[in-house]
Amino acid sequence: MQVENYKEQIYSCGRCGYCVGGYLAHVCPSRFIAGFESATARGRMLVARALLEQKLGYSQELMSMVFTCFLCGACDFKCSQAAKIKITEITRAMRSDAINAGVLLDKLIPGAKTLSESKNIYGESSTKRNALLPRRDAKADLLYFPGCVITFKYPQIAYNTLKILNAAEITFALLGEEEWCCGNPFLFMGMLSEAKKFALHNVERIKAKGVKTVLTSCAGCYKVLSQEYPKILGELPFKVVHITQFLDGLIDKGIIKLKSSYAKVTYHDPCEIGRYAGIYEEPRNVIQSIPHLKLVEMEKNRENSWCCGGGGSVNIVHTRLALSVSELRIRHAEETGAKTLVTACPSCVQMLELASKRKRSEIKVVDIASLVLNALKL
Amino acid sequence: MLNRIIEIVGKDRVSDSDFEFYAYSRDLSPAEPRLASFIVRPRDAEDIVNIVKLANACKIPVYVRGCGCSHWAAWLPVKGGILLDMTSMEKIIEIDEENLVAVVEPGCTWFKLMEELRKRRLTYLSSEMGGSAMTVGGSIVKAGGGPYGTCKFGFHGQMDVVGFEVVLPTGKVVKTGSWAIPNCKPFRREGLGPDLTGLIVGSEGIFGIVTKAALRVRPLPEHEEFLYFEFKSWEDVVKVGDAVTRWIGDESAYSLDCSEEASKPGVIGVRIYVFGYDRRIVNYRKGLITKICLANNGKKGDSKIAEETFKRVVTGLPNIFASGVWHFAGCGTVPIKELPKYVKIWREIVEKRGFYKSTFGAWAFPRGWTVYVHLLYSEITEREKVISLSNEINSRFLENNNVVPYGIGGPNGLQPFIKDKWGAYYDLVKSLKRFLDPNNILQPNILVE
Repeated sequence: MQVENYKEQIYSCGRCGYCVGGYLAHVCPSRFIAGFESATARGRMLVARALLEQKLGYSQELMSMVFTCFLCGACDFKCSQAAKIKITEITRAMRSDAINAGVLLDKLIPGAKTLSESKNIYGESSTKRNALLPRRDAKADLLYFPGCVITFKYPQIAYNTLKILNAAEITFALLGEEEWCCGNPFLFMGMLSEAKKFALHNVERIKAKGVKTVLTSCAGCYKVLSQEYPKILGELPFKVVHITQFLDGLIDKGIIKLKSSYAKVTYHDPCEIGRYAGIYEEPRNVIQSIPHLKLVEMEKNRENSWCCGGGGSVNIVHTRLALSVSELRIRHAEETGAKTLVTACPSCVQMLELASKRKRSEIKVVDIASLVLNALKL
Repeated sequence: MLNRIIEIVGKDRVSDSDFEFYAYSRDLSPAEPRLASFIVRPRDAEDIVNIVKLANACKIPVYVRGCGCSHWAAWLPVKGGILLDMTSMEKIIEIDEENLVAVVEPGCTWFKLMEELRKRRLTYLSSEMGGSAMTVGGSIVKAGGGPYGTCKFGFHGQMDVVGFEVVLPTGKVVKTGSWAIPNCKPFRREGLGPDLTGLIVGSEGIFGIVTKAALRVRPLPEHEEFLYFEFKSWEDVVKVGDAVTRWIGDESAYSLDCSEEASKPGVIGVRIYVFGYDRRIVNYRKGLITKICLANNGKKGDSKIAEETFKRVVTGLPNIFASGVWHFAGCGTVPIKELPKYVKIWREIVEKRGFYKSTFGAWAFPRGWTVYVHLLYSEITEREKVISLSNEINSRFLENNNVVPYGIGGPNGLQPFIKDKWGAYYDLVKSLKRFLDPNNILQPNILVE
């Protein structure tokens, strides 16, 4: 049992309610959608404890509750001020133990099968990865890893990123059809052996390219490549950089220069580069490098940011409820008076765009590479 | 039964899942998990009326939980039944800036109320020492209090509660105070014969389910100061508390909170919070308290220690479970001069048992102290030990019948220590309970057996 590894932490929960917060449903999106105590970190620790003590067993119903967690890390941040329990790790362990107990939610089975077979979450042909991003064999120190959502749903983000790289005269490599999904959906589902297979494949291919750095535009890919792969496979011979860090560096060194824009924008922190990696200032530096552009913060920002609704596979299991989380984020953006919501993850773009449309909001969701490309003096 | 509850609240607001029962099975005490049969998240008073009517018809218990932060097993479902999760009713209904009254639903947290009041340059009177999830309803029905504001305003219910809307155990809805008069706002608690607001305060939910609470609020103080002193003797600390609270109604301090860690005997930290609406008054009070502390052998320390405590009193203190989870024992109030004898008992017990992960604390209120023993323990290896230790502390503190327990709760709380001691008063409470709740459906075996 994976959960067994966290026994001490689980029993160290004093049930203080820090993780629930004072505005009860507005710290944890799981609590926001489900309401009941099992959706809070504190409640989940009691459930984990009952599992450890064999008072409960894994079931479809239990896992449906466990999959109300977006793995956004808001509770981890709150608990870091109290008992320092790694709540999302424990939630992931519960998902993994459920798989070992033979319980995979019915709603997740088709997606897991598609991913295993086609190596991407959409069941598309891998050769499309070549079509979207023509392969270049030039020797490069940098490899761009666009990931599934960008490749198959938001190729424009990749094109924009590559245009910026070209403008900065940076050569780069791509894996093309050899790129597999980073494995994040398997990690969300608790399918660790599948995730390991994907990690091994991608790392071998990246190693074969001999690059020093892997660049991602996806917060999920960034987290998996930089934090999960080393846990699964040990130290990697390349470093992983997120586009926000990369752009911040280019701007800081004066390699790219940006022209004025008189818009007012707000920025949404993707959980997987924010709370998980502490990348808060780089995207803000990038946005504020655009002369005259006004950045206004949402009340919930940085460590206190609100999930876009796209994390943890909740949008597959509880689609309507996950969208309510996204819609609340759009409301946060509207409250700033900005008309543009910038973010730095294609999954966030996807959820927030959908929410904005459903709400008939004036908020336009923009990926940070697109914002920079528009401001680039080419 | 499930279908009948669904008819009342809808299917999204009730759960009969086994895992949900475990999620709701513990409060902050080391009490064994207690499982409900149904968890219900009511929308409003009407839902609650219908739930209690159903409970009466089926003779099934109803337990009432705020955000679950009780330390005294005050809502754990001793006999199974329906557990009402009142955090589903968390709205701030009105902030009446003219009459200085806030009307809130019981699941509203102090944190949320504080934030919303602050936007209007208002604040409340006093608060418990708890985390951000602590609810207004949960605090008031146990007449809670903490270091924050208690030195000036006393416990919840003494000055801050103006009235309630309550669903009685039979399903009748009653308002108390001026609110009881049709078309009258909740602006005054007394004036209608007996103080029925007071019947609910401290009742631990056995006489009715609060669905709205009207609270006195006040303008946010313009000026504040923090003081920190260290003392070697609790007798000296008592002299300070005596002097500070002697001018009833014009107490010099807003909060006065003291503690000694078992691992550092003879080092008593005293944290003081002074507030006022006029800088001259605050300066005067600060000077006066400083003089009192120095005259009683206090050594001035870093005021930031006090500021940190009081500013985080509602949001919660950092690293609170760094060396174990909490349990509180021996909690109760004692007259102003009697504090040192409880320190002596605590020292004796921790010394005898060699358990040094403990703190003795006290905070002042007008002419008295709330005392508590804080215990840190591992739930894996020390739970039984800490329960036994806690039982000894409770027993010794309460043996002379001159401590007023802070909260009583159920069989895992202080109930076993007091039930045979209070004679006619206990019988009266039980009689009232029988009269208001003939089927004993509401919070059975909480407070009274």
